[in-house]
Amino acid sequence: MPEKATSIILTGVGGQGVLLAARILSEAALRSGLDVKSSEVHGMSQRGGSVLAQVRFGPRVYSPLTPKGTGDYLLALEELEALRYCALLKKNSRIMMQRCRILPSPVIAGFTPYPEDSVALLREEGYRVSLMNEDEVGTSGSARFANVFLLGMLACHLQFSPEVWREVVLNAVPERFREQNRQAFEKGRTIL
Amino acid sequence: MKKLLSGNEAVARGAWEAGVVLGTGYPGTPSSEILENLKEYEGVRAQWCVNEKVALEVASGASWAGARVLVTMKHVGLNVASDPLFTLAYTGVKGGLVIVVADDPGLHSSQNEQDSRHYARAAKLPMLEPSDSREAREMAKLAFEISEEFELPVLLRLTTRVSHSRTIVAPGERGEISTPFACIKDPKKRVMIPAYARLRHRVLEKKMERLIRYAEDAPCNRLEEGGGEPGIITSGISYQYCKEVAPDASYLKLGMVYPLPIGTIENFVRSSEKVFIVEELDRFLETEIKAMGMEVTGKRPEYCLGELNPDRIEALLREKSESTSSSPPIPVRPPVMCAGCPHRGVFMVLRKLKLFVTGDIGCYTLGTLPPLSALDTCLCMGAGVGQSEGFRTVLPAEDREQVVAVIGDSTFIHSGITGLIDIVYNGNGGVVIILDNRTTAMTGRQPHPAMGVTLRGEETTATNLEEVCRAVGVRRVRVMNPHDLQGMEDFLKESLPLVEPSVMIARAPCVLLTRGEEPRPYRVDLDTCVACEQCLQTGCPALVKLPDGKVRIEGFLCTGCGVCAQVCPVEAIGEYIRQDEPR
Repeated sequence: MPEKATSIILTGVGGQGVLLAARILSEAALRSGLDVKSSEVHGMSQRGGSVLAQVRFGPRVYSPLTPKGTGDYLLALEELEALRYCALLKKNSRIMMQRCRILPSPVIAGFTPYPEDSVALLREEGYRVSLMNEDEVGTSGSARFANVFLLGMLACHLQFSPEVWREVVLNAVPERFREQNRQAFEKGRTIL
Repeated sequence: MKKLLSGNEAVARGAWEAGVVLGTGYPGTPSSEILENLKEYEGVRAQWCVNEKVALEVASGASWAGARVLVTMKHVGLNVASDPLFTLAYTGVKGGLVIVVADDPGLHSSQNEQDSRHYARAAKLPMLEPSDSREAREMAKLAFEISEEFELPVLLRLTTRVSHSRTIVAPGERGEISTPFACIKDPKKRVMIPAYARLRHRVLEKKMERLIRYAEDAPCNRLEEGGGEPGIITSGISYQYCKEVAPDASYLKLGMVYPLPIGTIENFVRSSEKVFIVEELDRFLETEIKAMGMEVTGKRPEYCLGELNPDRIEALLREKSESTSSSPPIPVRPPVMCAGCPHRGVFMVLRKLKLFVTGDIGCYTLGTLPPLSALDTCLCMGAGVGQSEGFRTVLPAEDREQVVAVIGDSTFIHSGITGLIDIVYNGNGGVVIILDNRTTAMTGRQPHPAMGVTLRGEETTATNLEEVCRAVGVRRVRVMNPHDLQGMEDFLKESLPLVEPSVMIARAPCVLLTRGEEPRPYRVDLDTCVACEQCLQTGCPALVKLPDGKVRIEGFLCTGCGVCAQVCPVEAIGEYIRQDEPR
């Protein structure tokens, strides 16, 4: 583990499972013996608002908020939200993003357009983008497990043990969805 | 075993370990989860009260009987509870009484960003402020000790970022509760007639002198001599941000933000070349410390606005203005009323009738945003009712009919009932609409007295809203289905010109309560649709505009409320039966 805190940004729209993913990740860091702080803004999350969570871990963590331009990874369940928060990342860092566009009300009302090619915009800004396509999870209702799929993609880049991951993922999800979540996580792990 | 807890969970844990037997409060972001967590512990009764004032009054009674009590609220809730608060400082407490007040810098979900630290100085009460969950648990316990040692209520101040961040906590065991609880007569302490209150004021001033001495050695105030410059005096979450950007500075980290340890501060200021005061919102510490005659560096005015973060603090310490980012604008994603929300139909009618709507605090405040644009005021809990009376009192007779008040069910019970009595008493007419969605929706669906369920899920006697309205003297009380647009329009047209007041209770459960029930989605018959976009004016997130201007309904979002079908002028929207077969 590096000396400095590692900062992971997680974002999406209310109802997509951003907060659950942040909790799973925090728990994995705790069980790996690290100091952890996570922050979430969830006042409006159930009403279709933008959701941002941050998880920071390392030998010692002070701020639960990531200073601008220092974040290490971004997990995005929605494309516009990736654009909104990518400035928290260091240049060249990696964004793991679900191919998903949820139109916000000003776009639906025709006041403003939705950015055409978000992946190109993110790459122009100097980020490396790994995509999760909708059919990739391989189980029915893939969007429901996209949060855990993205965690699987992230797991390739972190040094938490497979046992820790298995435990925290399975503990966090309802029993009847354990198998699908396990599969989504393993599938995510295969994508580099 | 170490656990990751939110600040709110940690306060509940600390209070339980301290032997709390009662927790009271009213829901309010970001404080709501404290009591929701406390209720899970053995040996403690956690309950929602009608409002924050009642919560503090209930707590004071229990404390005078000898019990340790926790009271929780958001910052604006403390305004409501401030009447008992100020005099409770005179009477003092017996069992430890800790009031948690959660401020919301940055207005994540509030109508203002007031700084509640001023209450500590104004009411002459000690205030503690943790900077993470570990401290939240420790300070909750310490607050009970201070409360009993000085026989004073203690304020525990949180901010959104502490309440809703998760950090590592090592939980402990619950302490012994030894005191037998009893009624003990002591009128000179408990009955604040002027003769006794004069004496108690003197006692309070003496307690403050002792508290200033206590602050010098308080375990929650901490000196961290980094050996470096500058010196930083800070508290709460700002401490964590400072450590992030200035790890080598020397720190005086204040866990007790009122009263302040004068001697400790003097020594710290003397030992550093330059001392910064870093604090969120108002210049509270700065004002106090400068009033002690010490030379310290405060902040520029822009740092009194909004939430701080490591980037802002870095600029603050360089005594610079903030850089404004030049990145291209990203479309905002404002929160919206859910698909099927029972408030939507009411606002469609108010909009159609072009009424002036005095509003209140709740999900329905979102009715002010386009496309609904049908809510014209929002001041504080309960205000919409009184405001409608004020408008109607001074408006010329022909304009009075355009004023109508809307208020949620939980908000009406919190502080709308008194406004309604005032309308009746002062002979004002008009219509008050109670948006009765059977829950306190905005803060996370907490139960309230009209639901007949308590925080712990027990059944209880339900307050009957129609009977309350009739009992205070409103004769025209009508319960209506908020998805019936024509019915509501007829009632309003009939009621608004009358000299007597009317109450319309628009009753249907919040869609978040009925989620999981079998929805009956509607669909648009695209051959009939004329792309007039009338339905899009409902602002329903289930409606999607197609490239040709026609509209499609997202089947998985639609609950079948039927509001869009009622506004469609060509009857293109109907209940979904089978593919391609509108009824």
